[in-house]
Amino acid sequence: MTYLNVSNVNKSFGGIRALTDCSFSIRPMETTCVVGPNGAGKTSIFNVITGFIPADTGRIEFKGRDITAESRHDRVEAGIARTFQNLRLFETMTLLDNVIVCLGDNGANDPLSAVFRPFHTQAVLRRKREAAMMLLEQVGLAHKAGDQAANISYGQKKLLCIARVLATGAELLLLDEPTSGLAAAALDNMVELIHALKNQQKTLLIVEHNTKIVKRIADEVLFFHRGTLLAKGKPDEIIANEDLGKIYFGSGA
Amino acid sequence: MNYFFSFLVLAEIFSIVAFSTNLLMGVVGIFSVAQAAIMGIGAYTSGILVMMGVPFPLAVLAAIAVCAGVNLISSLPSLRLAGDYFIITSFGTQLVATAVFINWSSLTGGASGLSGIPVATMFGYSFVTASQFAVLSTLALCLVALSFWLILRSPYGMMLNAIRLDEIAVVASGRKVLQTKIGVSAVSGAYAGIGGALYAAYISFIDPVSFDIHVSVLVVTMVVVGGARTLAGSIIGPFLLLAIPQALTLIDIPSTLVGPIRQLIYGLLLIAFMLWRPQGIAGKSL
Ligand SMILES: Nc1ncnc2c1ncn2[C@@H]1O[C@H](COP(=O)(O)OP(=O)(O)OP(=O)(O)O)[C@@H](O)[C@H]1O
Ligand SMILES: [Mg+2]
Repeated sequence: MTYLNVSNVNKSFGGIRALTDCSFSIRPMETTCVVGPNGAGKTSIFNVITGFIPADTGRIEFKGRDITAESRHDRVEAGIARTFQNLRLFETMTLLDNVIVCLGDNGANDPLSAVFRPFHTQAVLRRKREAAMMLLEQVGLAHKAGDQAANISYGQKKLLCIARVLATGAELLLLDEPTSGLAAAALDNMVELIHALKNQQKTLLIVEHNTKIVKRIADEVLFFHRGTLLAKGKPDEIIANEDLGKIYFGSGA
Repeated sequence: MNYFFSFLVLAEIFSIVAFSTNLLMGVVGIFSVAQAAIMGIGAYTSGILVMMGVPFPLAVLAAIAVCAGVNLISSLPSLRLAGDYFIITSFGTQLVATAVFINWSSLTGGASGLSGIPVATMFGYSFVTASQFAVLSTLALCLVALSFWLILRSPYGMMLNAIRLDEIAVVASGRKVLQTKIGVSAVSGAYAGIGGALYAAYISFIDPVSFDIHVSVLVVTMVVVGGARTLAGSIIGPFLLLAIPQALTLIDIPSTLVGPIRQLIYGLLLIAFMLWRPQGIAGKSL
Protein backbone atom coordinates (compact mmCIF):
# COMPACT_ATOMS: atom_id res chain seq x y z
CA MET A 1 0.00 0.00 0.00
CA THR A 2 1.39 3.37 -0.97
CA TYR A 3 1.04 6.36 1.30
CA LEU A 4 -0.21 9.02 -1.07
CA ASN A 5 -0.96 7.89 -4.57
CA VAL A 6 -1.92 10.25 -7.36
CA SER A 7 -2.93 8.52 -10.57
CA ASN A 8 -3.72 9.89 -14.02
CA VAL A 9 -4.87 13.31 -12.85
CA ASN A 10 -5.95 15.75 -15.54
CA LYS A 11 -7.15 19.27 -14.98
CA SER A 12 -7.97 22.01 -17.49
CA PHE A 13 -9.17 25.53 -16.94
CA GLY A 14 -10.95 26.35 -20.15
CA GLY A 15 -8.23 25.93 -22.76
CA ILE A 16 -5.36 25.86 -20.25
CA ARG A 17 -4.14 22.42 -19.30
CA ALA A 18 -2.96 22.88 -15.74
CA LEU A 19 -2.27 19.18 -15.18
CA THR A 20 -1.80 16.47 -17.79
CA ASP A 21 -1.94 12.82 -16.81
CA CYS A 22 -0.04 13.20 -13.55
CA SER A 23 0.79 10.04 -11.67
CA PHE A 24 3.14 9.70 -8.74
CA SER A 25 3.27 8.48 -5.21
CA ILE A 26 5.11 9.62 -2.15
CA ARG A 27 6.47 7.69 0.76
CA PRO A 28 5.60 8.33 4.39
CA MET A 29 7.90 10.41 6.57
CA GLU A 30 9.88 11.60 3.58
CA THR A 31 10.18 15.13 2.26
CA THR A 32 9.22 15.41 -1.37
CA CYS A 33 9.90 18.66 -3.18
CA VAL A 34 7.80 19.81 -6.10
CA VAL A 35 9.85 21.94 -8.50
CA GLY A 36 9.21 23.52 -11.85
CA PRO A 37 8.92 26.89 -13.55
CA ASN A 38 6.04 29.31 -13.04
CA GLY A 39 2.71 27.96 -14.17
CA ALA A 40 4.00 24.37 -14.16
CA GLY A 41 1.03 23.11 -12.17
CA LYS A 42 2.61 22.86 -8.72
CA THR A 43 -0.14 24.70 -6.87
CA SER A 44 -2.72 22.94 -9.02
CA ILE A 45 -1.58 19.50 -7.88
CA PHE A 46 -1.82 20.75 -4.27
CA ASN A 47 -5.35 21.96 -5.00
CA VAL A 48 -6.34 18.60 -6.42
CA ILE A 49 -4.85 16.62 -3.54
CA THR A 50 -6.56 18.81 -0.92
CA GLY A 51 -9.87 19.06 -2.80
CA PHE A 52 -9.76 22.78 -3.54
CA ILE A 53 -10.21 22.03 -7.21
CA PRO A 54 -11.79 18.85 -8.50
CA ALA A 55 -9.71 16.90 -10.99
CA ASP A 56 -11.33 16.35 -14.38
CA THR A 57 -10.15 12.75 -14.29
CA GLY A 58 -7.86 10.69 -12.11
CA ARG A 59 -7.71 9.36 -8.64
CA ILE A 60 -6.18 10.32 -5.29
CA GLU A 61 -5.57 7.65 -2.67
CA PHE A 62 -4.32 8.28 0.82
CA LYS A 63 -3.25 5.30 2.91
CA GLY A 64 -5.27 2.99 0.72
CA ARG A 65 -8.42 5.06 0.85
CA ASP A 66 -9.86 6.70 -2.25
CA ILE A 67 -10.32 10.35 -1.33
CA THR A 68 -10.90 11.69 -4.86
CA ALA A 69 -14.48 12.68 -4.12
CA GLU A 70 -14.13 13.53 -0.44
CA SER A 71 -14.85 16.94 1.04
CA ARG A 72 -12.02 19.25 2.00
CA HIS A 73 -12.64 18.86 5.71
CA ASP A 74 -12.75 15.08 5.44
CA ARG A 75 -9.32 15.15 3.82
CA VAL A 76 -7.96 17.24 6.67
CA GLU A 77 -9.49 14.79 9.10
CA ALA A 78 -7.87 11.96 7.15
CA GLY A 79 -4.54 13.69 7.77
CA ILE A 80 -3.77 15.98 4.81
CA ALA A 81 -3.42 19.73 5.34
CA ARG A 82 -1.93 22.55 3.31
CA THR A 83 -0.62 26.08 3.37
CA PHE A 84 -1.18 28.71 0.70
CA GLN A 85 1.29 30.47 -1.56
CA ASN A 86 -0.47 33.73 -0.62
CA LEU A 87 -0.56 32.84 3.11
CA ARG A 88 -4.25 33.58 3.80
CA LEU A 89 -3.74 34.59 7.43
CA PHE A 90 -6.55 36.06 9.51
CA GLU A 91 -4.78 39.41 9.45
CA THR A 92 -6.74 41.24 12.16
CA MET A 93 -6.67 38.33 14.59
CA THR A 94 -3.86 37.61 17.01
CA LEU A 95 -1.30 34.94 16.23
CA LEU A 96 -2.71 32.82 19.02
CA ASP A 97 -6.25 33.06 17.64
CA ASN A 98 -5.00 32.30 14.13
CA VAL A 99 -3.70 29.00 15.45
CA ILE A 100 -6.69 28.26 17.70
CA VAL A 101 -9.10 28.48 14.75
CA CYS A 102 -7.06 25.85 12.91
CA LEU A 103 -6.75 23.36 15.77
CA GLY A 104 -7.97 19.87 14.96
CA ASP A 105 -9.59 19.86 18.41
CA ASN A 106 -13.21 20.61 17.51
CA GLY A 107 -14.39 21.04 21.11
CA ALA A 108 -17.02 23.68 21.87
CA ASN A 109 -17.13 24.74 18.24
CA ASP A 110 -20.89 25.26 18.17
CA PRO A 111 -23.30 27.96 19.31
CA LEU A 112 -25.18 25.78 21.76
CA SER A 113 -22.07 24.99 23.81
CA ALA A 114 -21.07 28.66 23.70
CA VAL A 115 -24.42 29.80 25.11
CA PHE A 116 -25.58 26.97 27.32
CA ARG A 117 -22.27 25.61 28.60
CA PRO A 118 -20.23 28.79 29.04
CA PHE A 119 -17.92 27.42 31.73
CA HIS A 120 -17.21 24.26 29.81
CA THR A 121 -16.58 26.40 26.74
CA GLN A 122 -14.08 28.60 28.57
CA ALA A 123 -12.32 25.50 29.87
CA VAL A 124 -12.07 24.19 26.31
CA LEU A 125 -10.77 27.56 25.20
CA ARG A 126 -8.05 27.45 27.84
CA ARG A 127 -7.06 23.99 26.64
CA LYS A 128 -6.94 25.29 23.07
CA ARG A 129 -4.88 28.30 24.07
CA GLU A 130 -2.30 26.03 25.64
CA ALA A 131 -2.16 23.79 22.58
CA ALA A 132 -1.87 26.79 20.27
CA MET A 133 0.81 28.33 22.45
CA MET A 134 2.91 25.17 22.21
CA LEU A 135 2.72 25.32 18.44
CA LEU A 136 3.73 28.98 18.41
CA GLU A 137 6.67 28.05 20.63
CA GLN A 138 7.65 25.34 18.23
CA VAL A 139 7.85 27.75 15.30
CA GLY A 140 9.50 30.41 17.44
CA LEU A 141 6.62 32.88 17.62
CA ALA A 142 5.54 32.48 21.25
CA HIS A 143 6.76 35.99 22.08
CA LYS A 144 4.39 37.41 19.45
CA ALA A 145 1.34 35.36 20.47
CA GLY A 146 -0.76 38.40 21.34
CA ASP A 147 0.22 40.48 18.29
CA GLN A 148 -2.05 40.98 15.31
CA ALA A 149 -1.03 38.84 12.36
CA ALA A 150 -0.97 41.96 10.21
CA ASN A 151 1.78 43.46 12.35
CA ILE A 152 4.47 40.78 12.13
CA SER A 153 7.23 40.47 9.51
CA TYR A 154 6.81 38.46 6.32
CA GLY A 155 9.14 35.79 7.62
CA GLN A 156 7.13 35.51 10.80
CA LYS A 157 3.92 35.25 8.77
CA LYS A 158 5.38 32.28 6.94
CA LEU A 159 6.17 30.65 10.29
CA LEU A 160 2.62 31.32 11.45
CA CYS A 161 1.38 29.43 8.39
CA ILE A 162 3.40 26.44 9.55
CA ALA A 163 1.95 26.71 13.07
CA ARG A 164 -1.55 26.80 11.61
CA VAL A 165 -1.07 23.78 9.38
CA LEU A 166 0.47 21.89 12.31
CA ALA A 167 -2.55 22.83 14.40
CA THR A 168 -4.78 20.67 12.21
CA GLY A 169 -2.90 17.64 13.50
CA ALA A 170 -2.43 16.37 9.94
CA GLU A 171 0.46 14.00 9.22
CA LEU A 172 0.90 14.90 5.55
CA LEU A 173 1.67 18.59 5.15
CA LEU A 174 1.58 20.32 1.79
CA LEU A 175 3.60 23.53 2.00
CA ASP A 176 3.29 25.89 -0.97
CA GLU A 177 6.57 27.84 -1.24
CA PRO A 178 7.34 28.14 2.48
CA THR A 179 10.74 29.75 1.79
CA SER A 180 9.92 32.16 -1.04
CA GLY A 181 10.63 35.79 -0.29
CA LEU A 182 12.65 35.02 2.83
CA ALA A 183 16.00 36.66 3.64
CA ALA A 184 19.00 34.44 4.44
CA ALA A 185 18.49 34.18 8.21
CA ALA A 186 14.77 33.52 7.97
CA LEU A 187 15.48 31.01 5.22
CA ASP A 188 17.86 28.99 7.41
CA ASN A 189 15.33 29.16 10.20
CA MET A 190 12.63 27.74 7.94
CA VAL A 191 14.90 24.95 6.69
CA GLU A 192 15.64 24.02 10.28
CA LEU A 193 11.93 23.98 11.06
CA ILE A 194 11.28 21.74 8.06
CA HIS A 195 13.94 19.33 9.32
CA ALA A 196 12.33 19.40 12.74
CA LEU A 197 8.95 18.55 11.22
CA LYS A 198 10.48 15.60 9.43
CA ASN A 199 11.96 14.40 12.71
CA GLN A 200 8.45 14.60 14.13
CA GLN A 201 7.38 11.94 11.62
CA LYS A 202 5.58 14.39 9.37
CA THR A 203 5.42 13.63 5.68
CA LEU A 204 6.09 16.74 3.66
CA LEU A 205 5.25 17.76 0.12
CA ILE A 206 6.86 21.12 -0.51
CA VAL A 207 6.84 23.47 -3.48
CA GLU A 208 10.35 24.88 -3.55
CA HIS A 209 12.04 27.00 -6.23
CA ASN A 210 15.52 27.28 -4.77
CA THR A 211 17.66 24.30 -5.83
CA LYS A 212 20.07 24.83 -2.92
CA ILE A 213 17.17 24.48 -0.50
CA VAL A 214 15.87 21.47 -2.40
CA LYS A 215 19.23 19.75 -1.88
CA ARG A 216 19.06 20.48 1.83
CA ILE A 217 15.53 19.26 2.49
CA ALA A 218 14.39 16.82 -0.20
CA ASP A 219 14.47 13.04 -0.14
CA GLU A 220 12.68 12.96 -3.47
CA VAL A 221 11.97 15.54 -6.17
CA LEU A 222 9.05 15.86 -8.57
CA PHE A 223 9.79 18.03 -11.59
CA PHE A 224 6.74 19.60 -13.21
CA HIS A 225 6.65 21.42 -16.52
CA ARG A 226 3.56 22.72 -18.29
CA GLY A 227 1.30 20.53 -16.23
CA THR A 228 3.25 17.33 -16.79
CA LEU A 229 5.39 15.44 -14.32
CA LEU A 230 8.61 15.40 -16.37
CA ALA A 231 10.86 13.64 -13.91
CA LYS A 232 10.97 12.08 -10.49
CA GLY A 233 14.10 11.16 -8.61
CA LYS A 234 16.71 11.94 -6.01
CA PRO A 235 17.54 15.64 -5.66
CA ASP A 236 21.10 15.23 -7.01
CA GLU A 237 19.93 13.44 -10.14
CA ILE A 238 17.23 15.96 -10.90
CA ILE A 239 19.36 18.99 -10.26
CA ALA A 240 22.30 17.60 -12.22
CA ASN A 241 20.09 16.80 -15.22
CA GLU A 242 20.99 19.32 -17.90
CA ASP A 243 17.75 19.07 -19.87
CA LEU A 244 15.72 19.87 -16.77
CA GLY A 245 18.09 22.70 -15.92
CA LYS A 246 17.46 24.24 -19.32
CA ILE A 247 13.72 24.12 -18.79
CA TYR A 248 14.04 25.48 -15.32
CA PHE A 249 16.46 28.30 -15.95
CA GLY A 250 15.59 28.93 -19.58
CA SER A 251 17.71 27.73 -22.50
CA GLY A 252 20.08 30.68 -22.10
CA ALA A 253 21.30 29.40 -18.73
CA MET B 1 -43.07 58.71 31.74
CA ASN B 2 -45.07 56.36 29.54
CA TYR B 3 -43.57 58.17 26.62
CA PHE B 4 -40.08 57.23 27.81
CA PHE B 5 -41.02 53.60 28.40
CA SER B 6 -42.58 53.16 24.99
CA PHE B 7 -39.37 54.49 23.46
CA LEU B 8 -37.35 52.14 25.66
CA VAL B 9 -39.38 49.08 24.68
CA LEU B 10 -39.17 49.81 20.97
CA ALA B 11 -35.44 50.56 21.13
CA GLU B 12 -34.85 47.32 23.04
CA ILE B 13 -36.84 45.30 20.53
CA PHE B 14 -34.82 46.79 17.70
CA SER B 15 -31.62 46.14 19.63
CA ILE B 16 -32.53 42.47 19.63
CA VAL B 17 -33.03 42.59 15.87
CA ALA B 18 -29.76 44.53 15.54
CA PHE B 19 -27.99 41.68 17.35
CA SER B 20 -29.45 39.34 14.76
CA THR B 21 -28.08 41.46 11.92
CA ASN B 22 -24.79 42.10 13.68
CA LEU B 23 -24.11 38.41 14.11
CA LEU B 24 -24.78 37.63 10.48
CA MET B 25 -23.42 40.76 8.80
CA GLY B 26 -20.90 42.15 11.26
CA VAL B 27 -19.34 38.94 12.52
CA VAL B 28 -19.63 36.40 9.70
CA GLY B 29 -19.87 38.88 6.83
CA ILE B 30 -23.14 37.56 5.39
CA PHE B 31 -24.73 40.82 4.22
CA SER B 32 -28.46 40.55 4.52
CA VAL B 33 -31.12 43.18 3.96
CA ALA B 34 -33.92 40.82 4.95
CA GLN B 35 -33.74 40.87 8.73
CA ALA B 36 -36.99 42.88 9.06
CA ALA B 37 -38.70 40.17 7.03
CA ILE B 38 -37.46 37.54 9.46
CA MET B 39 -38.59 39.73 12.35
CA GLY B 40 -41.97 40.02 10.62
CA ILE B 41 -42.24 36.26 10.30
CA GLY B 42 -41.64 36.06 14.06
CA ALA B 43 -44.24 38.72 14.70
CA TYR B 44 -46.89 37.04 12.55
CA THR B 45 -46.10 33.58 13.91
CA SER B 46 -46.35 34.67 17.50
CA GLY B 47 -49.26 37.09 16.94
CA ILE B 48 -51.37 34.55 15.09
CA LEU B 49 -50.67 31.81 17.63
CA VAL B 50 -51.54 34.04 20.59
CA MET B 51 -54.76 35.07 18.84
CA MET B 52 -55.55 31.37 18.46
CA GLY B 53 -55.20 31.00 22.21
CA VAL B 54 -51.67 29.60 22.43
CA PRO B 55 -49.90 30.85 25.59
CA PHE B 56 -47.45 33.68 24.91
CA PRO B 57 -44.26 31.82 25.98
CA LEU B 58 -45.07 28.96 23.62
CA ALA B 59 -45.85 31.41 20.83
CA VAL B 60 -42.43 33.02 21.36
CA LEU B 61 -40.75 29.62 21.20
CA ALA B 62 -42.63 28.88 17.98
CA ALA B 63 -41.52 32.24 16.54
CA ILE B 64 -37.93 31.42 17.47
CA ALA B 65 -38.10 28.01 15.81
CA VAL B 66 -39.81 29.26 12.64
CA CYS B 67 -37.43 32.22 12.26
CA ALA B 68 -34.36 30.08 12.89
CA GLY B 69 -35.56 27.77 10.14
CA VAL B 70 -36.52 30.49 7.68
CA ASN B 71 -33.33 32.46 8.21
CA LEU B 72 -31.34 29.30 7.73
CA ILE B 73 -33.09 28.55 4.45
CA SER B 74 -32.83 32.13 3.22
CA SER B 75 -29.12 32.14 4.07
CA LEU B 76 -28.43 28.98 2.09
CA PRO B 77 -27.44 30.90 -1.07
CA SER B 78 -24.72 32.64 0.96
CA LEU B 79 -23.09 29.27 1.46
CA ARG B 80 -22.33 29.30 -2.25
CA LEU B 81 -22.44 32.97 -3.21
CA ALA B 82 -19.80 35.49 -2.30
CA GLY B 83 -20.87 38.41 -0.10
CA ASP B 84 -21.86 40.97 -2.71
CA TYR B 85 -24.09 38.55 -4.57
CA PHE B 86 -25.84 37.48 -1.44
CA ILE B 87 -27.14 41.00 -0.83
CA ILE B 88 -29.17 40.63 -4.01
CA THR B 89 -30.66 37.29 -2.96
CA SER B 90 -31.51 38.72 0.46
CA PHE B 91 -33.43 41.48 -1.35
CA GLY B 92 -35.38 38.64 -2.90
CA THR B 93 -36.11 37.12 0.50
CA GLN B 94 -37.37 40.46 1.74
CA LEU B 95 -39.64 40.96 -1.28
CA VAL B 96 -41.03 37.44 -1.08
CA ALA B 97 -41.77 37.81 2.64
CA THR B 98 -43.56 41.13 2.13
CA ALA B 99 -45.57 39.62 -0.73
CA VAL B 100 -46.59 36.71 1.49
CA PHE B 101 -47.59 39.06 4.35
CA ILE B 102 -49.79 41.00 1.92
CA ASN B 103 -51.29 38.14 -0.04
CA TRP B 104 -51.82 35.33 2.44
CA SER B 105 -54.64 37.42 3.81
CA SER B 106 -56.66 34.59 5.38
CA LEU B 107 -53.79 34.20 7.82
CA THR B 108 -52.11 37.61 7.93
CA GLY B 109 -55.00 39.97 7.42
CA GLY B 110 -53.43 41.14 4.14
CA ALA B 111 -52.38 44.74 3.66
CA SER B 112 -54.51 45.95 6.55
CA GLY B 113 -52.67 43.66 8.92
CA LEU B 114 -53.64 42.02 12.18
CA SER B 115 -55.01 44.07 15.02
CA GLY B 116 -56.06 43.19 18.52
CA ILE B 117 -53.15 40.86 19.26
CA PRO B 118 -53.60 40.00 22.96
CA VAL B 119 -51.17 41.42 25.51
CA ALA B 120 -48.27 39.29 26.61
CA THR B 121 -49.05 37.11 29.61
CA MET B 122 -46.41 35.02 31.33
CA PHE B 123 -46.36 33.15 34.62
CA GLY B 124 -49.61 34.84 35.65
CA TYR B 125 -48.39 38.38 34.94
CA SER B 126 -49.80 40.52 32.17
CA PHE B 127 -47.48 43.01 30.52
CA VAL B 128 -50.01 45.65 29.56
CA THR B 129 -48.49 49.10 29.94
CA ALA B 130 -45.22 50.25 28.44
CA SER B 131 -43.50 50.22 31.81
CA GLN B 132 -44.66 46.68 32.51
CA PHE B 133 -43.60 45.54 29.05
CA ALA B 134 -40.22 47.18 29.55
CA VAL B 135 -39.47 44.52 32.17
CA LEU B 136 -40.04 41.83 29.57
CA SER B 137 -38.14 43.53 26.75
CA THR B 138 -35.23 44.40 29.04
CA LEU B 139 -35.01 40.81 30.18
CA ALA B 140 -35.13 39.54 26.59
CA LEU B 141 -32.48 42.04 25.47
CA CYS B 142 -30.20 41.02 28.35
CA LEU B 143 -30.50 37.35 27.42
CA VAL B 144 -29.84 38.03 23.75
CA ALA B 145 -26.90 40.31 24.54
CA LEU B 146 -25.47 37.75 26.96
CA SER B 147 -25.68 34.97 24.40
CA PHE B 148 -24.09 37.23 21.74
CA TRP B 149 -21.25 38.00 24.13
CA LEU B 150 -20.78 34.34 25.04
CA ILE B 151 -20.73 33.34 21.38
CA LEU B 152 -18.15 35.97 20.46
CA ARG B 153 -15.72 34.93 23.18
CA SER B 154 -16.01 31.21 22.44
CA PRO B 155 -13.94 29.15 19.98
CA TYR B 156 -17.05 29.15 17.81
CA GLY B 157 -17.05 32.96 17.76
CA MET B 158 -13.39 32.98 16.74
CA MET B 159 -14.25 30.70 13.87
CA LEU B 160 -17.10 33.02 12.81
CA ASN B 161 -14.69 35.95 12.72
CA ALA B 162 -12.17 33.87 10.81
CA ILE B 163 -14.78 32.96 8.21
CA ARG B 164 -15.38 36.64 7.57
CA LEU B 165 -11.65 37.30 7.24
CA ASP B 166 -10.76 34.34 5.01
CA GLU B 167 -13.25 31.58 4.44
CA ILE B 168 -10.87 29.52 2.29
CA ALA B 169 -8.29 29.43 5.08
CA VAL B 170 -10.93 28.21 7.52
CA VAL B 171 -11.93 25.45 5.09
CA ALA B 172 -8.27 24.49 4.69
CA SER B 173 -7.95 24.07 8.43
CA GLY B 174 -10.56 21.32 8.28
CA ARG B 175 -13.49 23.21 9.75
CA LYS B 176 -16.99 22.48 8.51
CA VAL B 177 -17.75 25.98 7.30
CA LEU B 178 -21.10 25.05 5.83
CA GLN B 179 -22.34 23.64 9.11
CA THR B 180 -21.00 26.69 10.94
CA LYS B 181 -22.81 29.11 8.67
CA ILE B 182 -26.02 27.12 9.01
CA GLY B 183 -25.72 27.27 12.79
CA VAL B 184 -25.10 30.99 12.91
CA SER B 185 -27.99 31.68 10.54
CA ALA B 186 -30.27 29.78 12.87
CA VAL B 187 -29.09 31.75 15.90
CA SER B 188 -29.48 35.02 14.03
CA GLY B 189 -32.98 34.00 12.95
CA ALA B 190 -33.86 33.08 16.54
CA TYR B 191 -32.88 36.59 17.70
CA ALA B 192 -35.05 38.19 15.01
CA GLY B 193 -37.90 35.87 16.01
CA ILE B 194 -37.70 37.05 19.62
CA GLY B 195 -37.72 40.66 18.44
CA GLY B 196 -40.71 40.05 16.19
CA ALA B 197 -42.72 38.22 18.84
CA LEU B 198 -42.14 41.02 21.35
CA TYR B 199 -43.05 43.63 18.75
CA ALA B 200 -46.37 41.97 17.96
CA ALA B 201 -47.26 41.59 21.63
CA TYR B 202 -46.28 45.15 22.48
CA ILE B 203 -47.79 47.09 19.56
CA SER B 204 -50.73 44.63 19.33
CA PHE B 205 -51.01 45.53 15.65
CA ILE B 206 -48.81 44.29 12.79
CA ASP B 207 -48.98 44.86 9.06
CA PRO B 208 -46.67 44.25 6.09
CA VAL B 209 -45.32 47.82 6.17
CA SER B 210 -43.98 47.26 9.69
CA PHE B 211 -41.49 44.76 8.27
CA ASP B 212 -40.73 46.02 4.77
CA ILE B 213 -37.43 46.77 3.08
CA HIS B 214 -37.19 50.20 4.76
CA VAL B 215 -37.13 48.53 8.13
CA SER B 216 -34.45 46.09 6.99
CA VAL B 217 -32.31 48.96 5.77
CA LEU B 218 -32.97 50.77 9.04
CA VAL B 219 -31.64 47.78 10.98
CA VAL B 220 -28.52 47.66 8.80
CA THR B 221 -28.08 51.41 9.44
CA MET B 222 -28.41 50.78 13.16
CA VAL B 223 -25.58 48.25 13.05
CA VAL B 224 -23.37 50.47 10.90
CA VAL B 225 -23.93 53.52 13.11
CA GLY B 226 -23.65 51.58 16.36
CA GLY B 227 -20.64 49.54 15.32
CA ALA B 228 -20.27 46.10 13.84
CA ARG B 229 -19.36 43.10 15.99
CA THR B 230 -19.71 44.95 19.26
CA LEU B 231 -22.24 44.41 21.96
CA ALA B 232 -22.51 48.13 22.71
CA GLY B 233 -22.94 48.97 19.03
CA SER B 234 -25.97 46.74 18.69
CA ILE B 235 -27.64 48.75 21.45
CA ILE B 236 -26.34 52.26 20.76
CA GLY B 237 -27.43 52.14 17.11
CA PRO B 238 -31.12 51.39 17.69
CA PHE B 239 -31.41 53.77 20.64
CA LEU B 240 -29.83 56.59 18.68
CA LEU B 241 -31.72 56.07 15.46
CA LEU B 242 -35.09 55.62 17.11
CA ALA B 243 -34.49 58.78 19.13
CA ILE B 244 -34.37 60.77 15.89
CA PRO B 245 -38.13 60.60 15.10
CA GLN B 246 -38.80 61.35 18.77
CA ALA B 247 -36.61 64.43 18.55
CA LEU B 248 -38.33 65.49 15.35
CA THR B 249 -41.67 65.58 17.10
CA LEU B 250 -40.21 68.16 19.48
CA ILE B 251 -39.33 70.48 16.62
CA ASP B 252 -42.18 72.41 15.09
CA ILE B 253 -42.37 70.90 11.59
CA PRO B 254 -45.47 69.84 9.66
CA SER B 255 -46.40 66.27 10.53
CA THR B 256 -46.42 65.30 6.85
CA LEU B 257 -42.72 66.11 6.69
CA VAL B 258 -41.67 64.06 9.71
CA GLY B 259 -41.60 60.77 7.77
CA PRO B 260 -39.56 61.99 4.79
CA ILE B 261 -37.15 63.94 7.00
CA ARG B 262 -36.60 60.89 9.16
CA GLN B 263 -35.82 58.75 6.10
CA LEU B 264 -33.50 61.48 4.83
CA ILE B 265 -31.59 61.57 8.09
CA TYR B 266 -31.30 57.77 8.18
CA GLY B 267 -29.99 57.71 4.62
CA LEU B 268 -27.47 60.46 5.25
CA LEU B 269 -26.29 58.78 8.45
CA LEU B 270 -25.74 55.49 6.63
CA ILE B 271 -23.69 57.17 3.91
CA ALA B 272 -21.76 59.37 6.33
CA PHE B 273 -20.78 56.49 8.61
CA MET B 274 -19.78 54.22 5.74
CA LEU B 275 -17.58 57.01 4.37
CA TRP B 276 -16.03 58.47 7.49
CA ARG B 277 -16.51 56.06 10.32
CA PRO B 278 -17.13 52.53 9.03
CA GLN B 279 -16.36 51.18 12.48
CA GLY B 280 -19.45 52.94 13.84
CA ILE B 281 -19.66 54.60 17.22
CA ALA B 282 -18.57 51.60 19.28
CA GLY B 283 -15.54 50.80 17.27
CA LYS B 284 -15.07 47.93 14.80
CA SER B 285 -15.20 48.30 11.07
CA LEU B 286 -17.42 46.11 8.89
N1 LIG C 1 -8.30 28.63 -10.74
C1 LIG C 1 -7.69 28.74 -11.93
N2 LIG C 1 -8.37 29.23 -12.99
C2 LIG C 1 -7.78 29.34 -14.19
N3 LIG C 1 -6.52 28.98 -14.44
C3 LIG C 1 -5.78 28.49 -13.43
C4 LIG C 1 -6.33 28.35 -12.12
N4 LIG C 1 -5.38 27.83 -11.31
C5 LIG C 1 -4.29 27.67 -12.08
N5 LIG C 1 -4.53 28.05 -13.35
C6 LIG C 1 -3.57 27.97 -14.47
O1 LIG C 1 -3.02 26.68 -14.45
C7 LIG C 1 -1.62 26.73 -14.73
C8 LIG C 1 -0.85 26.13 -13.56
O2 LIG C 1 -0.97 27.01 -12.44
P1 LIG C 1 -0.35 26.71 -11.01
O3 LIG C 1 -0.85 27.75 -10.10
O4 LIG C 1 -0.62 25.31 -10.64
O5 LIG C 1 1.21 26.93 -11.29
P2 LIG C 1 2.42 26.90 -10.29
O6 LIG C 1 3.32 25.83 -10.76
O7 LIG C 1 1.95 26.85 -8.88
O8 LIG C 1 3.10 28.32 -10.59
P3 LIG C 1 3.81 29.37 -9.63
O9 LIG C 1 5.23 28.97 -9.51
O10 LIG C 1 3.66 30.66 -10.36
O11 LIG C 1 3.07 29.36 -8.32
C9 LIG C 1 -1.28 28.19 -14.97
O12 LIG C 1 -1.29 28.42 -16.35
C10 LIG C 1 -2.40 28.92 -14.31
O13 LIG C 1 -2.63 30.15 -14.92
MG1 LIG D 1 2.03 28.07 -7.27
